[in-house]
Amino acid sequence: MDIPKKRPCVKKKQIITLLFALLLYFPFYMPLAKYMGNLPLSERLGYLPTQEMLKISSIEHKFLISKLIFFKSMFYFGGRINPISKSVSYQIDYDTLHKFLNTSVYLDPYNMDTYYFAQAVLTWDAGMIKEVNEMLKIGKKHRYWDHYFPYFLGFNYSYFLKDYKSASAYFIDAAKITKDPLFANLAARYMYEANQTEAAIVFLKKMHEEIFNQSIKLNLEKRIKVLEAVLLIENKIVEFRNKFKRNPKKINEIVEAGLLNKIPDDPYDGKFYIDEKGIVRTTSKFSSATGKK
Amino acid sequence: MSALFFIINKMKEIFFVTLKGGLKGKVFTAITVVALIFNIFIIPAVSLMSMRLVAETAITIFLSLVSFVLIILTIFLGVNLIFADIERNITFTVLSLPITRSQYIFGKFYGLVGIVLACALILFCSSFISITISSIFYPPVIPISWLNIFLALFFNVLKMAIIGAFSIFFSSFSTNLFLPLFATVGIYIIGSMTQEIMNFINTPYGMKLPAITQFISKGVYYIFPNLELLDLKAKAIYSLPLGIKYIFFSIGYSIIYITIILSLAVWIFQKRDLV
Repeated sequence: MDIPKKRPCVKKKQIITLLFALLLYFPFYMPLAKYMGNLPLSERLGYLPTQEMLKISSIEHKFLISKLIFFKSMFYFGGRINPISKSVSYQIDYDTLHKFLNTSVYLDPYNMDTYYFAQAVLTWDAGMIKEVNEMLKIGKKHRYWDHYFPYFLGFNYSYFLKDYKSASAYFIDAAKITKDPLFANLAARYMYEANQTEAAIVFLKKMHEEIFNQSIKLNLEKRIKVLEAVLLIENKIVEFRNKFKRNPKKINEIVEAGLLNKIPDDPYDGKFYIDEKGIVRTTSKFSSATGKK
Repeated sequence: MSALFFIINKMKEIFFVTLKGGLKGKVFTAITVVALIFNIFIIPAVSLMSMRLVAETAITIFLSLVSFVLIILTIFLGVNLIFADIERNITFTVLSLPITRSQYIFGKFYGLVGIVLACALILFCSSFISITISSIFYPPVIPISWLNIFLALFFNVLKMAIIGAFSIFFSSFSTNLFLPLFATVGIYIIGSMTQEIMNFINTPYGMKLPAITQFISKGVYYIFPNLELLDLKAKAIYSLPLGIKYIFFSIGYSIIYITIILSLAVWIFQKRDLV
């Protein structure tokens, strides 16, 4: 039996139909892509079911879901960093971001990426120290071999919460795990003196070395720069005090005394000043979020 | 002794026929090839997005991929094993030979497990490439435990063996494809959730649920297979220590459960009128 061959005009019709569809593909897709890109922030990060429901419905894939939630959080944050100004360009929904990260560690309490990201972003940018500490304590129970948990906890208690007793206890834990004298020194330092700015710079530089994500690295670089400027001014205040037996009331006095050539620039576009307690502050409050939605 | 040898020989024939048919089949080839491509190219690329856990992310995605592939393979091949033979009247031919129905059922089961094991081994060998690439750039703090990864895969195969036993059980009395298919999927979902539900029931909030809900949940927990017992992903991903006692009891639990299900399948199939 002869198999009837397709008539040439039928084959031509198929090719034309295919070409026509290909031609229409981008004109239809691009407006949709633009629409998706302009969606409000709260829709972009999305919503999650309750942790318990997500854990039950993830069945055996909770580790993968945990990683996916982390990736989503990271892309959400990274998309809001301006690579030129290295600062946050759009307002970030930190509460939802915290919920996402909390759910990620609930599904996989061993997922170090989530804890690291929370420590890098939620503490400095959102001031959610206690929330991050609660997450880190969960991680510390599971990743008992990892010195980063007591290290991060120690730093948070010392730098943000000024609870030097708890800080030194955690630094001792970190020292026991790593046998690194750095942590023992930090523990001793927070017991007897309050050299917070220098410790913060050391801490951030260590994080900057080890992080792979570029947008977070840029964010950290800016923070390191502002703290180095603060440390410089603090050291000059000590020199001023030693020379003139009093604290400077205004920052210009340090320049007029010849101890500084000029007041350092604030990478967050603020101005440095000395408050009534003699602490170096900046009008930018170490943040340059412009609130664009 | 010679009778036992005879039984095993007959079962072996069904096993080899099932294994050969499965390995040559399009479903096995298609799933394995797609999984291999995903494993070798996609996993290393995606895992590099991790901040500090590149190798661990590669292992996570690999193990989830293997779980996904094996469950599809088990369900689609498992429900078809007996159903296809009955549909094409092959069962009459096979059972007219000196093979009992129980040998037929067990031979089919072992053939199915053999196919799943072959797929798992192929994926395990390919994982050397994807996981090694990921760990070269950013080595993990705790070295990768290939033994744990192998055990996670082996336990996954055991899990699939339980699911496969169920698919054969449902096929032993069903007259259509859909009942074994959906029932087996249902068993997989229930079995994967029971431990989490039980954990939830034991929380202060869970204890406030109505007594009937708690009773049913506990009943389901003890009757249906607890597949989470055979989930070693955390141990494999983070190279955590594994207890020998746990391995022994989990393997024992799986063998006992499979024996119960297949025994029921054999009992039903022996009474079934294949006409």
